[in-house]
Amino acid sequence: MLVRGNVVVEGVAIGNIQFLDMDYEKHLKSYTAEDIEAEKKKYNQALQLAQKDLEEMLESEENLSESEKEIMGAHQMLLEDVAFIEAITTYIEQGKPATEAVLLAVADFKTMFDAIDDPYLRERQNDMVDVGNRLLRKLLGIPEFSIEGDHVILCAKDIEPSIMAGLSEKKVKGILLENGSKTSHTVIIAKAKGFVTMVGVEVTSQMAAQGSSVIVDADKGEILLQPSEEQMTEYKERVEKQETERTYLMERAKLPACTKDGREVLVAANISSPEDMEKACSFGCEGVGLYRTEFFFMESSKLPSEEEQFEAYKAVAEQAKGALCVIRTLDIGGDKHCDCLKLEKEDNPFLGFRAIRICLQSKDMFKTQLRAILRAGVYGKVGIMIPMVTMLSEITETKKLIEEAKEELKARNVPYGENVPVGIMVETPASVMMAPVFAKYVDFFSIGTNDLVQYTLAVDRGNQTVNYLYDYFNPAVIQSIYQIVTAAHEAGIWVGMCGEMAGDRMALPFLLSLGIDELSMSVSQAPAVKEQIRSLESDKCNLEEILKFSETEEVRAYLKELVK
Amino acid sequence: MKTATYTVKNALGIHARPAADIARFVGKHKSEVTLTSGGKKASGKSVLMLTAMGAKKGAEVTVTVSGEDEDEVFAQLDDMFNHGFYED
Repeated sequence: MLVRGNVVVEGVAIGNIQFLDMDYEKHLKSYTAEDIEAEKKKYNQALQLAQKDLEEMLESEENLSESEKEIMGAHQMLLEDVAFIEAITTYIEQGKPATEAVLLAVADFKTMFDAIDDPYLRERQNDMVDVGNRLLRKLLGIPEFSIEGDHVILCAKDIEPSIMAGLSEKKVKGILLENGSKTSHTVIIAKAKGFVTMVGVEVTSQMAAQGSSVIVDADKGEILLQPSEEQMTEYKERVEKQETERTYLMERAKLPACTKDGREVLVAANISSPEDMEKACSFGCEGVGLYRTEFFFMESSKLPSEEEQFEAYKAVAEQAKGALCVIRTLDIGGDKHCDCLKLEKEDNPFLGFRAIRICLQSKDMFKTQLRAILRAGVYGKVGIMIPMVTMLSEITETKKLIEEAKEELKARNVPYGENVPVGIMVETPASVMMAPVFAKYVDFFSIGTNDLVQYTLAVDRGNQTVNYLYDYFNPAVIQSIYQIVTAAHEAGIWVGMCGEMAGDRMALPFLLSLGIDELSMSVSQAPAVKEQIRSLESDKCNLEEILKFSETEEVRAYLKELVK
Repeated sequence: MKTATYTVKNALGIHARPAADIARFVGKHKSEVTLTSGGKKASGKSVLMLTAMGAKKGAEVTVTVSGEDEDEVFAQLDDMFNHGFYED
């Protein structure tokens, strides 16, 4: 049987399916409450058991990263916090069962934190729920989850971050979640651990027995339940090949991406939070080509403060160790919504109020972000990148605001980076046509292929009926990219690419021949792309020839020959 | 009982780190410690409550200490507040 899901971490995994039962509702219904003293005693026992758990997890440092240790440490502190203990005890003394007392206390603190403008406390809300759940498991006698066997594919509705953090990379091969957005806390940890991961997956214990074989093909976004023997053999080979390749690529990840004829291309990371930097560095990314700051705004019900943003940008800049970090200013609207900005529903969101258009209307919010970026410039090399530019005035106005932001910082006596480069995403047909002009006003270009393809070919990639038209090898897109790179180089500025095309092995010969200066991609793609650059000559693709093609298929066939 | 009012000096205010420092220190001693700021009251032992006061730079915080080791506890807290929790 075949089930589909949304891929978070690519790869192939084979293993035995293990369902993670976290159905508290069911257990809560069968909980029998006793008198106040007995409930207090039960709570105290649960507290001790939970404390022991966390201590043991922290002691067996084996698989804990720095950020995981920090989360566990925070849990310890919450669990033992006098105010939390007092709140639970008070509820029990009022006659509530211990289980309900825990839930009520957790809810109380959540509400209290909601009212306060402090990023630390807002983060702690999720930890509070985790800690409460740990106490509940102890009270309800739900066993702590343990992994059975060495090749486990974990399947659950959702997994708490603390549990995800405790999973061993040696035993767990894949994660299948029913809920879970691609950016949730738990998914970020799964990514960092490198588990083959899919979300939006519906596999129930009726469809596959606990412990039965399952194949996860997160290259295709498919899960094979009860696989045939042929499938098992085929995938075993693929897993082995993947392991060998991965080891080889990781060993070489930090070598420079230098073509056979000696031209070096910068391979940078696309990231969405400072937590991505640890992996970006170990996967050989040199700096950041695209920091998507919108996740900051999307995850919160309030606009993030200058301080909050500054801390995040600073953390990224510091971890990049002197390499440039390009921070894209807020790119919201279109398909990305956020609660902290009250945006109207639009008939044509992609042609509507989004990205720089919103920022230039909400100047205070925009300047807050600009100040935070400028301040981070003291701790490393950062750049400002403006998304969705269609007019020169958007560039000049932003530059004016950057100057104002600097003045404001100066007045406050706060240090900031003096020479922060300013660039634009080239992703609209207007900016392609105007590239020679825009290039005179900015320090760099970065080609955002995802939107460029969408706007150039007038096709919504989310629309199943027409998305077959979406293709960056379409000659119109190839011509656009050629024009952008030429315009940048004629003006003497560098040009990079940060869309999906940058990580596509088939596109590489074309991009190398164009002389593109930087390629920015999802971190996991970097080692393979760097290796391929090292195996290529920088002038294999004949530009005159590729620019003559009038059909997508011709472009594709030509490039396919080159990467053989 | 000893009491005094301070103005928060460090840029980040009473955030997670100072709150944890205070709670850890108070937790090891016998005196009852209460902090109040902007109408909010917190036990000196609770990181949660201390952080939840949301005392930013410039906020006024009143510290009350009572118990057998109040002199020692008060002196240490007085030092922490006077030095902006040794942060800036």
